[in-house]
Amino acid sequence: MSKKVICIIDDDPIYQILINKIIAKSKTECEIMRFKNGKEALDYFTLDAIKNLPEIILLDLEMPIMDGWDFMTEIDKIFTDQTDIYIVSSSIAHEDKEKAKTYTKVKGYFSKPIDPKKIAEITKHL
Amino acid sequence: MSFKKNWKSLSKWFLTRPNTTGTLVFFLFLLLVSFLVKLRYNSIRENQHREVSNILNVIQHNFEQIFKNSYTATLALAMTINDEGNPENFDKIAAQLVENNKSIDAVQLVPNGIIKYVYPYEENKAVLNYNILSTPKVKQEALKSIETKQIYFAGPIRLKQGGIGVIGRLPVFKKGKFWGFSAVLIRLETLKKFSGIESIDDVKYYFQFSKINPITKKEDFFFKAKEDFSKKCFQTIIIPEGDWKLYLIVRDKNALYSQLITLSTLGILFSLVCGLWVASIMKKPARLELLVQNQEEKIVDSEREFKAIFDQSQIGIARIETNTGKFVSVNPEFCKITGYSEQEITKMNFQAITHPDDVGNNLNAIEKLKNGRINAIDFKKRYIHKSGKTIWVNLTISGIGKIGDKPTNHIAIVEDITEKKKAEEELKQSFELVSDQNKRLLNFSYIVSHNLRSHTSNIETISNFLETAETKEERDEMIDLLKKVSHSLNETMTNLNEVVSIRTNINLSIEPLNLNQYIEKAQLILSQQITAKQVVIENLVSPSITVNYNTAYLESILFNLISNAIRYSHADRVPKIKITFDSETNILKVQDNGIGIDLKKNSEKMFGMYKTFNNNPDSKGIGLFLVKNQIDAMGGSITVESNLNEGTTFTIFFK
Repeated sequence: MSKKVICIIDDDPIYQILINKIIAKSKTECEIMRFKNGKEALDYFTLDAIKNLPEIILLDLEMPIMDGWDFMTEIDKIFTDQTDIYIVSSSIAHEDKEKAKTYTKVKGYFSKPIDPKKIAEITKHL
Repeated sequence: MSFKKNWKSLSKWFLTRPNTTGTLVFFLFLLLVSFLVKLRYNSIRENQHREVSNILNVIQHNFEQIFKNSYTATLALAMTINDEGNPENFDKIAAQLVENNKSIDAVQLVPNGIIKYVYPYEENKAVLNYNILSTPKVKQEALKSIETKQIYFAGPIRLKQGGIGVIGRLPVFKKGKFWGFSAVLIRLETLKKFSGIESIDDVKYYFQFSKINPITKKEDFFFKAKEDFSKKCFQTIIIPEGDWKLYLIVRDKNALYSQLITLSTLGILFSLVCGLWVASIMKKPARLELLVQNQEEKIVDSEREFKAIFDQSQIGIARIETNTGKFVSVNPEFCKITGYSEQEITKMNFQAITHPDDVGNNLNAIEKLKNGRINAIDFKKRYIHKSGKTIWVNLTISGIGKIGDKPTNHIAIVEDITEKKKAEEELKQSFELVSDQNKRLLNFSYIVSHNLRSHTSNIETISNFLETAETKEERDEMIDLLKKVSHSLNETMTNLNEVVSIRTNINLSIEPLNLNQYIEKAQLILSQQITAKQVVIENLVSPSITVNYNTAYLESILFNLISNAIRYSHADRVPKIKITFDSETNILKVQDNGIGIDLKKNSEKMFGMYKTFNNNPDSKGIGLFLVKNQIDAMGGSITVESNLNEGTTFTIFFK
């Protein structure tokens, strides 16, 4: 069985480093993919969808070029049910949480800073 | 004409007064009736008169007959007297005379005034040897017959033999010498009977018989006196043979009147009925006339009321001829709204004072009303006031007449809503301003919260790791990260501070700036990049053009737009930037042939903070955000047109 894949899409380089550390500390055996924005991630998945499909995506909303919303709209056409999307955003706006619920693939909404326990929880089943 | 008018007013006068007219009719008929009664009265009187005359004629005739008979009898008796003065065969002849003349009761021969011979003897023997010439009571009358030598009737007198009678004496002369009298006695009853006095209509008439007493010279009446008839209607005849006066008296004058009274009463009743009938017949038209009068008054009242509403109304009212649009009449308020006087406006049509853009609309509305399917239409339009200014009005046009009829006139109700419209416009503008500001404020607060939070959450996570760090390397790594976060937080704070300063800066210094010079200045600052990318900049702005602007903002705007154009140039071609300014519209255009932006996706985010649309490492997403804020602060606007891989044009409107 191949390693589970967690995909992180966020434009904040410091957050990227920090989330990497959190996942590492959670002692989950997994592979991590990193993208700076939705466009980069989408291009990658479009290239070879079946091979590189991640089990979990941690998605930021506010990003240049292609933001989290646009990414979800686009990715809907490619991904199957096996991918769970968790939104990790610095936004605490209620509207954003409500809007996120309208996307079926979104399994959770976390506000930054993300609690390492929550990461442990969602990666545990892998 | 005047007669006709007079007649009309006169007939109206009568029509409205049925009682008076009825009374008048009553009196008119009464006059007629009186006239008829008078005629009838005259005719009755005449008839009566004729009747009385006739009766008297008959009576007179009878008297004459009696006298003739008496004369014949006395004459025949006188014939019996022989030459010696003695009567022969007196009894035989007297008997024959009395038998043959029923009107004679007795005969006498009175030689020398002494009654010597009488027939019938028994009834008359009482007067034998009565000397009439020596009795003063009768002497005078006896003498009168001697004097006239004719038969003369004495009496009526109370007879010695009983009863009342008249005596006709014929003086007899023998050989020229008075012999005596030949006389007849006629009792009053007999006279009555034979003269026909008894046989007259007793109901209507009665007789009176009189003679001037020869001694007392007074008039003696011989029939039983019933009453004083001097005031009654009567006729008389004089009978000279006895100096008698015979009266025929109309018994009851009232009989005549009673006839007339019946006639008059009937006449009056008839007049009364006619008068009432006319009055009652005329009351109906009079009621109608009254009703018409009332209605007329009501109409006048309501017209006055309407006129008051029309004149005093605070809303303009105009009557318009449907086909031509001509004003027929307008009220003072309408004149006030449009600024024209009534004389001026009634020479115009509505098209003349309607805003040219609204005439078509107005004509359409009237066309709809013309066919009568709808009765009223309501819309807003503009008039041009006499002074030339535009007035907004709320117009309600309705046809005059019933629904379904084709009206020839329309009523326009006009309300001046210029002030309202102005207020509405101002409200709309301030609403737009407020909602725009609100949108910007929301956007800003969102930016603030997002950008600050992303840093603080990082700090929190780092501090957690620091606490739990097991090795020095790990701790150093975290402190290094913390420095980076601190740096970017500082940068963010600087940017936010700049935005805030733009937004809060109300009293910016504004001065006329030469646009061309400032473009040159921006090029100078960017000369390194321009040279590196070999950019061709076409500055087509005339050197004479100046704009009133804040110096720092103009520098910032030009710098950002030009640097953006350079940064996002297309790798396959020579970058070209064209800058133009239209002094008519105050519009500056900055056009490039760069990579362009997909505006379908990004138009809303174009001028947002920290929005970047490509992977250029220099993109911070702050430049256009600041430009937009600065232009807004100066009261202008900025728009963008772009096609991917073709280029982008920014259009800036200077206030």
